[in-house]
Amino acid sequence: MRTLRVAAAAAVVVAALGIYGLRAQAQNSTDVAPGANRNHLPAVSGAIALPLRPAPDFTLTDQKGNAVKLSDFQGKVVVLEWTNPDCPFVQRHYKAGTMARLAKAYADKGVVWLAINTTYYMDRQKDAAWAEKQRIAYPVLGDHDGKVAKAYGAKTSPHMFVIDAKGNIAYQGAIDNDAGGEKKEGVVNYVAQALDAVLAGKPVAVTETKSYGCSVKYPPEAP
Amino acid sequence: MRGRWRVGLWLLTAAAAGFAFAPAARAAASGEPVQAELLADASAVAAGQPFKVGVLFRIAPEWHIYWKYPGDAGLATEVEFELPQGFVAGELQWPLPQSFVQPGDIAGYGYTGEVMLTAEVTPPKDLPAGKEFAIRAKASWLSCRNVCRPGRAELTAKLSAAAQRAPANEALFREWAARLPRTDKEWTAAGRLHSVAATAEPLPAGAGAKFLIAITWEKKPAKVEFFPAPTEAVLTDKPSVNASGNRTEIAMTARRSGVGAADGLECLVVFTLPDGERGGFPVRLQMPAGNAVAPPTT
Repeated sequence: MRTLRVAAAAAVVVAALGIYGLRAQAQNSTDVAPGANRNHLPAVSGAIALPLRPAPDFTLTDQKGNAVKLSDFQGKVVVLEWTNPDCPFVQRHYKAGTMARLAKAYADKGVVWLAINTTYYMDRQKDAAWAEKQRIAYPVLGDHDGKVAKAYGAKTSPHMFVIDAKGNIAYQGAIDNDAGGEKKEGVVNYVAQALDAVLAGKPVAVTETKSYGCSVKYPPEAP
Repeated sequence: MRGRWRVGLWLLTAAAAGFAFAPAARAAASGEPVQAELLADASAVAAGQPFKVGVLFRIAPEWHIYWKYPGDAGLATEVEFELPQGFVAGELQWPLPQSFVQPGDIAGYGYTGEVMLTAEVTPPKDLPAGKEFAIRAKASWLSCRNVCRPGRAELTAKLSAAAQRAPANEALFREWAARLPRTDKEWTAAGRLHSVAATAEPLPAGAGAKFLIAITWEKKPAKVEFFPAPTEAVLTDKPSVNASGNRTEIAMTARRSGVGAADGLECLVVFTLPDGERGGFPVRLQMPAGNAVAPPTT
């Protein structure tokens, strides 16, 4: 069943690429944006699945001093949460229990939750103190030289990544659609949405959103 | 997302008209990095004649607040005007932003020092002379330097109606009006810009496009900046800006996020001439039709 679905998806991609080739040709002589070609588009319902990016492997140390290697979790779904105890967006979500609640709910389904703190002026003691204060049950990994953040392209705290059981990034971006934290209704948690899809073996509808929050505090000498 | 700024209509009842006048700048407690003040370009307005209101943000050294699109991180500043019944506000006007790149190549778009976000307000034609009224604004912002601090203020300005408009704060409003974007046509007429043309190379299955914006200048700028302002439906990759003689080529990939409808993408081109003159004009890019969602990329 799974094989069939993959084959079908691949066929759609190939077909789409074929159409893309034609469209690109049609575009060559055009001097305007491609909206003009609306009529030539294939009738497609639902998003087309394009190939996913493999999650870069890493080994980092958690707040207790344990080495944590991403590839050790191969076969499991992993969530990476870029965090920074000094950031008001992170503080808001911890006050609301967003991360703890999600981590706990999906831990029961075998999902691994890893927080990563890149904030360059912090260290393992700070990570440990924060984890204790917030009663964080999952590892808080120190990436204070910013190397792992750079490999993932982490820009904000929070910045979320959902890695599927095959080790591909199935979702990256914001935790939800409420950057200002003021929505009374209609809040969509993109991480929960992606996890539900991945765990059900379905394609993720929203694979990337713009993350919001404080900038990741890379070391001042970072490129 | 496009409606980040909102212009609300506030029904000013007879009872509400009597609320106490709160000095505007007092909203932010001392020690806050940002102070906000609501101002108008008239102390008395005439029936049916538009005037301007603006929220002036005073930002402490080293701190910044954000443009309507904050860049890679941060949060857009929001201003919501609340007007008496019959008053109509136009779109919020955003002066040309600055770009600040933080370690890790994180681009932020916003303002340092001072900025005033303005809107034109048209009072009703039947506004009786002598009537007093209040304009209110709710402002919220994120201010950042190494750390970030959210701030908000509820501001009030009290005005009156008269047979003839009585101007106020003229120099200030003139100064900030001069820092607003103008159209490319205006810059062409002003002898700064020769031409601007956008082309697009679609990504597979309409997932987005690689846009190329070619600009030819009448006066060669010392610096050209490019500010995309996508809605949540569109993700933009880091733009590249390349200058060669009187030509500037800007390339940027924009992808569909799968959230909301991605039709257009608003961007702003900002140039600085060797003599320090800084101007900008919007460029609207058309996203290709389609509904494919690009996979996550770095």
